[in-house]
Amino acid sequence: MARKRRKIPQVNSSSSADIAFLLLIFFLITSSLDPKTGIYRKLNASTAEEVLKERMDIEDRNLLTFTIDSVGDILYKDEPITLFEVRDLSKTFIENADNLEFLPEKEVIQVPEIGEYPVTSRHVISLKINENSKYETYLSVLNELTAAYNQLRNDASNNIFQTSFYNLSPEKQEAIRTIYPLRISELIVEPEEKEGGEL
Amino acid sequence: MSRFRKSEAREVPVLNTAALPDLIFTILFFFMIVTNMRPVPVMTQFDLPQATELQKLEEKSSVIYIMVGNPHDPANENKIQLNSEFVSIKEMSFLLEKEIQKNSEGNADPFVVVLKADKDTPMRIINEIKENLRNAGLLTVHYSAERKNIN
Repeated sequence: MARKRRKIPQVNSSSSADIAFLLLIFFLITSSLDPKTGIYRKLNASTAEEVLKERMDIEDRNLLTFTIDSVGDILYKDEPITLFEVRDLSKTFIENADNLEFLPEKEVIQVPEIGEYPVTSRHVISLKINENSKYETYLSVLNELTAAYNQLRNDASNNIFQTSFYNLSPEKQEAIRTIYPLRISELIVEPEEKEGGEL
Repeated sequence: MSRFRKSEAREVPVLNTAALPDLIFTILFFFMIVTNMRPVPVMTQFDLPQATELQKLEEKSSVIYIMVGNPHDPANENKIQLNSEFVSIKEMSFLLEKEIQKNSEGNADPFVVVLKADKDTPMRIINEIKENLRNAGLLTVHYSAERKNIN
């Protein structure tokens, strides 16, 4: 008799499936599958008027201007260009590998981790965006400019540290960023202003 | 006797459901791992633009969500969703200040603004939003985009 009492009855687990189902449904409803990817950008602290004023002081050789018109075309010197040309032009402009006279001037600065390095520290890529253009066009241009900077930084990292930019320590990444500082200025243009050029 | 046996054989055996919880739990774990909680309710419909140079959003910092697109409720005139409410451009700077005060209690993390805008949004609206962010001192923006497949 004593032996029989020691037997443990089996746990009835038929309802654990229901509990699991409830949890599953809860997660299905509350969760989302958004990718959470995007492009990080720091806004300029200055206002549009200040940007305009600053622009007056920039020498021609230090300025590269792209225009996005109301139809969504990207113009460089009034000629429509493709997205890939935006990247190529920007890369040549920022790098100025052969120290040419019509490309941004180079300044030798002291960079931590690297030493003295000639940097086009005063270059500005300017975007003139028509008010009526679409966000998609703007972001695709921004994407190309980011790509240009990323490629240059990666190349520099490969040359100096023999490894890609993403494998570097934060201090070295900062040093590479100092060599190729992100200098993009944006300006929203009202459609009237564009046609007012004849006045 | 033979008749009695026949009826016994016809009885359907009970389905063993002992393994069913394990099965459901596996699916549950899959969903728990691959999904993340919705931080704010999405009340706007938008098609994100595509890009290649993408970075993942770092969730360590305090995040403010701004969505621009078509509200699910067509009666809504304001097309900008700031966190969980619709706002107009005029009241935006005031509401941004409120969000900053609400979030900055207790933590000094820098703010990141996640801008989820439809790809057909006119730049005028984007610019007005950016002006407001600049005035509120919110300078880090994460432009949400989908990965573009390069063929």
